[in-house]
Amino acid sequence: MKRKTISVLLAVSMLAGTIGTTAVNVAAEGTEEVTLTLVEAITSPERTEIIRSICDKFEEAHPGVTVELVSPPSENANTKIAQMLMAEEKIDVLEVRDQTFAQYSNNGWLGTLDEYLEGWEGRDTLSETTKFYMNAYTDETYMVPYGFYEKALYYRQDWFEEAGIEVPETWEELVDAAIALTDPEQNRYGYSFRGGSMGFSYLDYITTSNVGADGLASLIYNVFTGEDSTIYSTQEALDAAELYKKLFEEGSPKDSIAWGFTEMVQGFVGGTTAMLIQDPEVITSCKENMEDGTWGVAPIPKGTSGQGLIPTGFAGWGITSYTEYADLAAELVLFLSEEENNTYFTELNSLIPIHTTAAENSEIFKSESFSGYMEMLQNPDVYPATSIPYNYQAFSELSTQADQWTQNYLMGNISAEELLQTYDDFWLNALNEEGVLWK
Amino acid sequence: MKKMTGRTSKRSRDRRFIFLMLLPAFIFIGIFTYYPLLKGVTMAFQDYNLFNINNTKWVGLDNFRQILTPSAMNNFYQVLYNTLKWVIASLFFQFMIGFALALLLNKPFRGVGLYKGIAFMPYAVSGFVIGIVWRWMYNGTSGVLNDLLMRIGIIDQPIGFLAQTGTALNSVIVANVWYGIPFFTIMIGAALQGVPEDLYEAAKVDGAGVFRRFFSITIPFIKPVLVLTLLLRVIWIFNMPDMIYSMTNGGPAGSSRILTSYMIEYIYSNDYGMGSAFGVIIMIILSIYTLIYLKFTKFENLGDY
Amino acid sequence: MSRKRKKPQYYVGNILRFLLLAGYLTVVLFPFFWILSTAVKGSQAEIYAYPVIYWPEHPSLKNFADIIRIGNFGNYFLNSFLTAGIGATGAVLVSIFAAYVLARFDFKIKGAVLFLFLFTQMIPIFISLAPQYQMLSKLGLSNTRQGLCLIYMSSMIPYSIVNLRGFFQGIPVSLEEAATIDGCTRIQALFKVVLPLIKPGIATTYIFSFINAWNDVFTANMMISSDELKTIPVALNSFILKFDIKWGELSAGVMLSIIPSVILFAFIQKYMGQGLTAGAVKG
Repeated sequence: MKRKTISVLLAVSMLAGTIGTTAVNVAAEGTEEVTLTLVEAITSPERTEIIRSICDKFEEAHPGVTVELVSPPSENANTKIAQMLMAEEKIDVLEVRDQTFAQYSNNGWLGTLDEYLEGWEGRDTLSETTKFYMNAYTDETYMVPYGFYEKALYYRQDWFEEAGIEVPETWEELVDAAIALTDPEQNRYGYSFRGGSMGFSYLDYITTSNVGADGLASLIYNVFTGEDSTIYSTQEALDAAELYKKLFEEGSPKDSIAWGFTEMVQGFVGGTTAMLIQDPEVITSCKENMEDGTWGVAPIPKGTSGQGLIPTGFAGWGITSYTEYADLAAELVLFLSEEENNTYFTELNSLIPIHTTAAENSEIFKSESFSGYMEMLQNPDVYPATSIPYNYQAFSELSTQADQWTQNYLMGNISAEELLQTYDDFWLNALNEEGVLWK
Repeated sequence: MKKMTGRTSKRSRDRRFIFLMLLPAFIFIGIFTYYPLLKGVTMAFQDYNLFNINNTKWVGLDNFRQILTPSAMNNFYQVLYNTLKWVIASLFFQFMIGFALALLLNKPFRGVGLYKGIAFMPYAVSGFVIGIVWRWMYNGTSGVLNDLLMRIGIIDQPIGFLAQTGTALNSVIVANVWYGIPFFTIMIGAALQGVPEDLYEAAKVDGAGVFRRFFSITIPFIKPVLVLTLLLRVIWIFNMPDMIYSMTNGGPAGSSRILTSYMIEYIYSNDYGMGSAFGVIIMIILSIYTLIYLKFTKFENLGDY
Repeated sequence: MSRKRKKPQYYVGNILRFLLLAGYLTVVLFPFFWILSTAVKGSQAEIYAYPVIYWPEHPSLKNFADIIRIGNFGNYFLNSFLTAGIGATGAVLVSIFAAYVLARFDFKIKGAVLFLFLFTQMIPIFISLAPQYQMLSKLGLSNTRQGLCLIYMSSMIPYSIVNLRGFFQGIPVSLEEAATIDGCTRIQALFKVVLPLIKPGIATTYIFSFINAWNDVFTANMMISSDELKTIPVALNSFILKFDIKWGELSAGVMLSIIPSVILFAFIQKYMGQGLTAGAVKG
């Protein structure tokens, strides 16, 4: 018996050894043709399939070219892709995210796309948003966005009607509505609060909306009011912090202090919360899991400035600086960005498309569920495009610390003044160390 | 080869034999463990941030200074305290329950093999995945544990297990205890089988009671195993960020941060310098612990492991 | 053994023992029950339902079918088998030699050598993960099963050495001495006389290493990029999306992934842990 076990084990592992080597030999042979390697970062099995199908079309149009997709689990993809780039692993085209853009360009990992964009016909129909984010941080173009993770307010239509409350247009109204709709007895809460991973940014949303576009030193670096001052030293920030805490304490589940993206969406879709501020991706979840007429999407709430400033998440495709096939890689980037393919991609992933024409021609983007988003895009005076100081190194440090700071504040361990002081010190220190990066 | 006199030639032959036998292990560990470690350790003395590798520079002990200097928002000593609590509480309950279970299973009964198989199951899942599952079970609004406790009538409002500073770490510890019991059950169970039955019989004849027999026969006999498993287990639990990472990622408000999970936070935000400095601190703490432990337990054989 | 007249304590003790064992069994099984129940739920709505649905009215095997057919799970299984299997085999082979001399010889730096092995356990994985990746990449071994095998093998060697060493110490030296007198070399004696006696030890060590590699998430996540090379934990990790977790598929995957470990454990449970025991007791 024992002998049998061991010999089986040995046999299995020896067999395993042979299979392992043959697999490699086969792989090593097929190098005659051109293989483009495309690395995506925000992965899911469905999304990978969508990209795959666009790449198949590209392969059809380019005989001899194979596009290989690399899809690391999204949960720690950024870390992994950075290591791959550092080792100059074979990557030709890659997904560049708002969070990773500065890192990739600082380290010289990205190749410029300007020369390829020059004669590209798709360029004419790119939306203002696309142009804004494409060159937000650098004069050279290192990536073509594939879509936008713009935020909007999701709400429970039926609950609001039942309670006879209007859908809120300002943060003040939102908090009031959230409190009115909260009923722990029924396991109902007003708002899907995000206190966990990256939740701190929601406090920034209220603050910047209170301060308004005119109060900011730069729309792209939305935490500064000047070259030596931040939004955190303003009265508006204090008001925002108090409102934020009220929203958490009186209008949100207690548990939500630990909620991340998953839980907040689950809270809304699963029928625990009445409101949620999220990306258009959530539309898919709502459609799948909620009944028609029970939910709606409205523009984001405005702050005391009369504007609503929530930075839009963006991501796109770029090429590596060291790719052997720069021309072909750039061609693939532009292929992915063509109106037809981009519309297909953004429709299925439920994102804001990059071409203005897509919004006009696509049934999906004209539909009711996207109307809140489109309304915002059509009113840039009320909802100006802003962004986060991603290209300060300090920002990546902040994102490991700030959640704990705000959680400490929400739990009453520190006061609003102390919290804002910490932020203020942090960013002034960053200004001091890294200088003024905006023009 | 030169001819040598009997004794020296045997000694040098032995030496060569020992060297050759150890060589493969050294090669593998040297290349794949110690060489990368060396690289990692050097980063601890650098301002090494993948945000911009061109800015990398030597900073001496700056990273350590930054870690060890407490500030209002970033308190190393709180994290250290959490780590100790995490290790000691996890270990204590894993050990006690694992030991008790091993004793209960030591007397054979029908189906004991199947029972052992089932009891082993937690250990067969990866810590990361089991952490995700527990996080979901603990969910404060729709989690199954809350639902269960409410049905039974123990609580009448859901508890945000992972959302309160007072309960987050304890909740993860409970999950970790669940996860780690099988290790002790298996190891101690095996040791118990080695205790000669006749020792018990003799003690019984001498009129020794259950507790007497337990403390004067069982414990001394399996003490070496206890000492060794406890040593290894402390190191492993200390070094296991999987569950904290997947359940709370250190939150809320840093209340469940342990050293290794904090280290991941830094690495994932590209700050390899600070992350590695945490790594070095962890290794120093564990080495000191190990050396003291070995000395304290006066376990000679353990001295060579 | 004759057990004719039992004292009442005997029954009380047995009932108590039964209750304790049953209680523990419930605690162990509950999360698995929950995983299984989630795995046989047909839709995400059912999974997220509140009040909680403990067992679906119409259990479905859809999630299992999905991950096997669409999710390529068979391939992930193969990858896990290959990397964990070869890694563990290599670790055991290399460790046999080292463990043997560490069990049989006394030499000056033995303590230091052992500490060098023990120290590997104290290394937090994240301090060397990135350098390991860079190194494998230079060797052309990143994103290959071979590279992952080598890392697994190295990381399992130290524990394998301790465990095997214990088993070696449980074998009387006189057996080998007799063999050497008969004209065997040390190595021959090791292979012909000693190894057959510690087969259970080898199996235990092998399976322990195997399970450890089988469950690894962080290393595999870092080293493997291509979908066709992903191991099971990496595949399970892929069900954690940016804004949702595919609980149904994840749970089905977890249930499938524990089967090999549990089966292997069933084979060796009798011997598991004897290495530490034997070695330690001898010392």
